[in-house]
Amino acid sequence: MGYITFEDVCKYYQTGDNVVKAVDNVSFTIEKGEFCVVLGPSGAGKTTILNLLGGMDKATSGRITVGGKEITGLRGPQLTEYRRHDVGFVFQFYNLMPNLTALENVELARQVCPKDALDPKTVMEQVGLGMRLNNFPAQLSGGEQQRVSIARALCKNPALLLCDEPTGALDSKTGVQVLSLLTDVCRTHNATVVIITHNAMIAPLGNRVIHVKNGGIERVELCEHPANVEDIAW
Amino acid sequence: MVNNTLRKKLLRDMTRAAMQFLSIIALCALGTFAFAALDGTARMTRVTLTTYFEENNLADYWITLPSADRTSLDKVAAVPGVATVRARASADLETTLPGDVSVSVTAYDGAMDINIPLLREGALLEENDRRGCLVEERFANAHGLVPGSRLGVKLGGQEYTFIVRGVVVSPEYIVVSNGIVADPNAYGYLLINACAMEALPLTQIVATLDRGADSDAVRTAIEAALPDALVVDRSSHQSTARANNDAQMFENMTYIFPVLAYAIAALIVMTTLSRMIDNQRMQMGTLKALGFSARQIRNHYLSYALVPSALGALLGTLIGHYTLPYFLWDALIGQNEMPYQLSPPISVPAWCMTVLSVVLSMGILLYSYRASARETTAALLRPKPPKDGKRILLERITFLWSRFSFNTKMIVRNLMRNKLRSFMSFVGILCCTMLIITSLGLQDSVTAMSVNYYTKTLSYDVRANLTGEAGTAESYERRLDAEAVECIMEKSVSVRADGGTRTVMLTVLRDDQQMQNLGKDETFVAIETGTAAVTYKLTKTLNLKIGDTIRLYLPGDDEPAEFVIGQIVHNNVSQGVYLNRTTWESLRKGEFTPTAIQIRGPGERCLTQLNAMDEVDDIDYPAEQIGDMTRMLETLSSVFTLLTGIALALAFVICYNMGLMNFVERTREYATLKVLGYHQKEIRRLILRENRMVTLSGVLLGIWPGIMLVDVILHSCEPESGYYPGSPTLQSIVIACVVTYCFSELIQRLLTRKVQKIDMVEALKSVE
Repeated sequence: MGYITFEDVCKYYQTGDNVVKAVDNVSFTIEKGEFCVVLGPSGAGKTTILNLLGGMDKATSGRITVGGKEITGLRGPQLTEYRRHDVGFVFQFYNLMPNLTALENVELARQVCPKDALDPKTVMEQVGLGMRLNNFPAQLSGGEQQRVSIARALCKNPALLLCDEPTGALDSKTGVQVLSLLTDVCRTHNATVVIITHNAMIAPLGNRVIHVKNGGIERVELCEHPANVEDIAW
Repeated sequence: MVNNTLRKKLLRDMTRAAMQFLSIIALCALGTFAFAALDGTARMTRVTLTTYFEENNLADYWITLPSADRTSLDKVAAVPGVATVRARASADLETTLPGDVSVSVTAYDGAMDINIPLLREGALLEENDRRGCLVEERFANAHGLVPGSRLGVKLGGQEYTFIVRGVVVSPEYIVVSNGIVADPNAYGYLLINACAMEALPLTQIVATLDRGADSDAVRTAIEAALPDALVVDRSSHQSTARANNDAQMFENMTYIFPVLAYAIAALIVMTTLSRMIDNQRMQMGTLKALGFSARQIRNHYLSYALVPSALGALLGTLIGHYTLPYFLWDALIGQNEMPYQLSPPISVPAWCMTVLSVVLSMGILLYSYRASARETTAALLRPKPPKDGKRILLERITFLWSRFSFNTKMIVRNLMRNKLRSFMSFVGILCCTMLIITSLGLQDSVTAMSVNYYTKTLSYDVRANLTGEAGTAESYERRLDAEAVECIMEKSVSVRADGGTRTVMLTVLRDDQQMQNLGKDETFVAIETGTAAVTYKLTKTLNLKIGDTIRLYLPGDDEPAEFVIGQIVHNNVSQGVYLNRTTWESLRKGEFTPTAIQIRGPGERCLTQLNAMDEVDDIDYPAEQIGDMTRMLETLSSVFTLLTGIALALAFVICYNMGLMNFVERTREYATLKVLGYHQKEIRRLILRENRMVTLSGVLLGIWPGIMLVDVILHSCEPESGYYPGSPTLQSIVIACVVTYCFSELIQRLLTRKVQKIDMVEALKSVE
């Protein structure tokens, strides 16, 4: 029994008479502390998987558990609690609050779960932004913004970190920095990290790589010794 | 083909943002509605009056003189500028109808070619008809008089019986009243031929002006030709002046409140439209990239403004023009006897307002569009860099800032970041509070004025009006059974000063009078000996101040009495000149002959005593007159009710619109909070708190302008004889504040329900 399990999960969207099967009968597991890459072309259903896993969307059928908790059975406010305490999100477009400083954006996370939260300043230093605490997002580069976004997710000290194309909007150099940060996090915080991407270059970094295609799982690769970030060819 | 697709996009956009477009339509409609409604009423009243006066040849002068004989008639006719003249007799006489019913009898010496009655039923009078009479319509209805009925009137102990030939209305009797309020059961008018009642002396000449003659010059010439005559022109003739005042009131009303409401609505519409365009920049870029020409795109976005603003403005104008004037007209004719109702077409200013709505909307749209169009297509396709967060001034006050909770900091920064939107919401709330206070305050002031006048300015309980054969003041004051009795003498006089001439009431009071409080705010002030006390409004009208000299012309006396103004007194209801008895007697212009007795604390026998006196004409009770006066001001009230309605509607739409805009623009932020694990309740609380800050400051700052506006509007619609001070009650102010606040809060609560519906996935995925 893995840390994360998907059992026959389906997600259908009804548009008029058409039923779009975004995710069809998907089953897989992810172990605790793994660095997992979900890989697939656009439209394959990987974002749907992340949304379902993050409690942002509800499955049409099937069962999803995270750390023994059944996500598919949770109702609205319980889902909010789940997102609040168990999951950290990193978005492709960072989604920082434009009118809060970098530090305040991280403090935002502490606002919702004051008990488990780490010290925002320390986290900011960990992501290498100790010098830019009081800058507003618009004053930061893309890579810096993404690191703030990661800091915001980490601050909650979540067991699960979900990243949707975290390097999608970044150039290769900053992309590498962000990825190395994420792999560090996985190791030092002992968090399970799930990265959604269409970029096959990232695949070698994963302990587990799930290939998604046409709403289903194509294959799952396991890798005992993933490559270092510095070694991957971008 | 291409345009077709764009048109489809426009339609879809409008359906998708239906509420936003609807609120623009509603705002445009509200803006033009108030104006069109009041403008329509004003023009309807004015056109009807003008036509009526013109077609029925309303007199320009009513000249009262000791004897309207051939010589005086010729003198008036000889004045250059006078078109026609006619001698008349006129008197208030008792009728033989059951109850205390009297009529104003006007007897024409010759044809009724001036103030021609408008026939409703029956026939007009033949010139030599000695038995026939014409009766006023409402009076006839109240007493069941029809052509052929008989009606007796009493004059000097003799009874004259007339046969009703026709039922009429007359242009000189728009207001039929010998008191404050028209009461057809007790008072009406009768038109007869002079030969039918020869005992009635001819004491009046009515005259009309040549087209284009200078009214004031002619008046001066008549006064010079007939020094002992009292000349009343249309501005002083009670009925005509009041009818004109009502029309004037609507005209004045049209130009303050509705224009303000219009301005606020326009402001909000413009803000909304410009934001809508800003939010469309990526689509604009896409269209550009697809190869649409700049003109096509511009026209497409112009329809964003054109369609809703034209639709709204037109709707407002049409509904305003074709519905409300008819309701307001009913309130107007409640007191006034109008002959018919003419409906002029929508006026040029009303059309201008309509067009202006569209022009303003299109203008702001073009302006916002230009700003975006200047950017390159590529720049448009990239999301607009989010507005920078900035340190705000408050943060520099560290000791204060550090005390704020995290959420408060966030809210304050948000408000500052979206300055324009926050400011517009603030202005919207402020204006709504202001307009609601104004409309409620106007109502209060009108009521307060009646109450204050009859309970504070006049501090007696009964007033008995006397006819010419009154005894001496001392005899009444000694004889009557009451706590206190004071006699006064009132005369209609002509006041002349450098600033103009007015026919007003001269009131002579006892030196030690206690029954009229003529000071500011109904305080007591003694009338000084040797100088004249002039009411405040009259000094404003004639541009007088203390120390100036005025000349008083008494009727039938060509020697004016000159006075220095020693005091300014305050009477909100009628304007005139006050003298004390000693001053009057030193003039040697006649005895102090009481025309009214004021009685405080009447004893048991008092009423019997009054009723036994032949010279007592009628008896007034100030306590009862409050209601009469309030009824007279009903026309105003109906307008105020309309204004309140508009203010409330405006408040609602503005709150909704600004709230919606805020929500639409920040969906992404709220979605992020949701993903971060904020509960719906927490997000709602944030939005609500932010809204409360704006609302509270808007409400608080709207109070003062609201109170000011009451004063401005009241003064704009008071008649020349009135001075209407604004006095909104605390209650109205509180109601206005609470209503606005609740509106805003309620609407936000409804809007924030949408937080639940925010699709986190959608909001976070796409940047736009």
